[in-house]
Amino acid sequence: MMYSVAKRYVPAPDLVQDVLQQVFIDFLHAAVENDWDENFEAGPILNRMTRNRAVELWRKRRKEFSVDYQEIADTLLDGHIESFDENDLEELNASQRLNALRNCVRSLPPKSRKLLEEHYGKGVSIKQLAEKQNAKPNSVRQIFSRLRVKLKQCIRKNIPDCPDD
Amino acid sequence: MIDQSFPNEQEIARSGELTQLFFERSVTSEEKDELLDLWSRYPVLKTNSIEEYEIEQDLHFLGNGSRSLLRYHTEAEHYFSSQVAEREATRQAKQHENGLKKNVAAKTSAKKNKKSLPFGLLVSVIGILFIIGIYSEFRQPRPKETIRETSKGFASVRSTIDVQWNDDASIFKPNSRLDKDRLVLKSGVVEIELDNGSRLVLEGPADFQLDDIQKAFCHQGRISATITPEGSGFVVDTPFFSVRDIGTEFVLDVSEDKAEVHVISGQVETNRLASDWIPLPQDRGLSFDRMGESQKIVADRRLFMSSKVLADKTKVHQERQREFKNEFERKLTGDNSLQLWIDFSDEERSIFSNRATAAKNNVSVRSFGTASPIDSNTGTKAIEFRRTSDRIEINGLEKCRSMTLIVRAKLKHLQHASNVLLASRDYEETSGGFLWQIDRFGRMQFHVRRPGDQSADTFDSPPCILGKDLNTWTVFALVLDFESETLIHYIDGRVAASFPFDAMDELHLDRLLLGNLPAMRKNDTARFFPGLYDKLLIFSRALSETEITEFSDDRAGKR
Repeated sequence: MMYSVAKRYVPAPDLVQDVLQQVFIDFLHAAVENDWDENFEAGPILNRMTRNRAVELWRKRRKEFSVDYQEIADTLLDGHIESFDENDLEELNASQRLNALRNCVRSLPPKSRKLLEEHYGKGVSIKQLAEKQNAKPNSVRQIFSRLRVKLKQCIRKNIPDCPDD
Repeated sequence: MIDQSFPNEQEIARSGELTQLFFERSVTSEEKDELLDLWSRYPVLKTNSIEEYEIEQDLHFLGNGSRSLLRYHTEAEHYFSSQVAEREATRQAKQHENGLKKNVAAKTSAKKNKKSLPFGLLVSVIGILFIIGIYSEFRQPRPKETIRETSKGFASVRSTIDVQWNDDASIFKPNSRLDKDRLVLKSGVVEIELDNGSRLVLEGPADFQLDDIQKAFCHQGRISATITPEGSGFVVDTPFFSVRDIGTEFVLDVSEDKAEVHVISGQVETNRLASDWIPLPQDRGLSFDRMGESQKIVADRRLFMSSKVLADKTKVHQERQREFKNEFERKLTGDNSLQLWIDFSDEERSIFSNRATAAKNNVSVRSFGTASPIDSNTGTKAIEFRRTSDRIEINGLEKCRSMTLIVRAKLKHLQHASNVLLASRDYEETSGGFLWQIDRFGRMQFHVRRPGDQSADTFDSPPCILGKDLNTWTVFALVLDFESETLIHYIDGRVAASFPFDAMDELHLDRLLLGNLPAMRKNDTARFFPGLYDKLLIFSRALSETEITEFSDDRAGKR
């Protein structure tokens, strides 16, 4: 759930990780001070903490990115937030989506799956992948774009109630 | 007629390309303008990019991020469970104490009516002394081993042999609990026991994901599985096919090009692409290649790592460890910068009896309280500080500028705000005094008082002691290098954090404490060591990263 909230306010995966790490520390700190126990309803407060931390982090760290990147990111994030009701926790079915995505990746042809594993699992860049395949980087970029569209369609099939973003 | 409100194929492809460039953070100004222009002309392209952005984040999360999230989630669960257990222990202790008080009061009142008054008085005194004894015992309720009792997960690592892990962040030591963890090893052997008694032996290089007690995914590697009747139905998925066990022994060998299953005893079933489960009997095997072509093979029993084979390998491994340890200790003995070496598992170097002293170059080591040797689960000795005043005092070490502290310990929990590894006796007041501890969030901390400063300089690592590191032997090290002006925290030979450190004249090592340090004055903080302490070494120089690794290498330890 926290992951779903964080990625709607920060544009990059590494920033999402930073947000989650900080929110957990904030949460444990607050739990000690307020003497919460395992019956405490943590959902709403975690939701709020994540959103606040994410907004704060992007405000502080946006200078690390180029102005052009910032402009695209702000447009993407605005579009993302418009389509999302953060009070409706039923929509934040992150684990269902991630499980569906995992299964969809597993069902891809081996070549496509390997591309994804190299890039997202091992951090091999698009340029390096293009060199390995003797292809142009833009061709590989198009492949990744098509794969993402394919995975989105596959997830929709696996989760019938998956909302259209 | 061309639909102007919908992009053509080229525009769709170009939008995808530019979106990918954005993800790579290498979009130029012209490309940015081009992308925003495409979005404004075709809102559907913007929607596509937003959807791609979602999937991009999710793919990164699956690739790297889920481990971090699970780690922090597990930490939060452990924290709450231990808090609940501690409150329950306190409540029960109070109930017990109230019950005793009532009993003694009732007995005292009954005996008052008897003629033998002196006898009645004696009973009252004994009763009151008993209450005082019980009350003292419970005044500072000792935390139970809550982490072990309430630890989540459905499997444990039983043993490891010469394992080289792929990623420093995902290292699993013997006795680590496992819960939907992914084990990625470059080499070596890991033995896993599921809570239903089934056993999996993983041989590296391997990449193995535990989903739950009945399911796993093997990306790569060889697994020898012995499945109990309770674990029957255990399924292992691979990129090529799935295997379902029906109470048996089998070997699964997955590489980049093919996967094989060999049935050693009993029967398994295999399944490819959601077809029906096909039985495979004993002594039979199946091989699948990348194209999905299958081939029947004869099961190769030599591939199976049985308990006997594993025991033999473990013996050889332990023998190598012992040889390394002896050689290592010979090297240490010749190091002039080694100021102190206490090894509680070695009776010649340790101190066990109450108030015993051990002199080494004018250094005195004394124990207070009831610190005593105990045998841990593995039969090795260590020291435990059970009462609030149990501690070891070390006096007479020389002052130094650079230093290395090394502690090998097993933490049971991190419920205290200050879980101290080593501290100066009067840290709160002495210039040059220091405190080396772990806080309740798993951060390694070094605090030092500089001359003339009221507060201490603090050097805190990020949270690096995780739930899975509790109840396992861990080597903590701190290196202070006067020459390079750096301070480094290490855990099991890995750098946990590194800081620039303004050199100070000298650090005070002349009066050191380890164990439980009760608050002596009103504003002092009580500090504890909740666990077993095995070794303490203090060097008056900064050891290199390679040297620290030698201490932390499995070969240098007990196992």
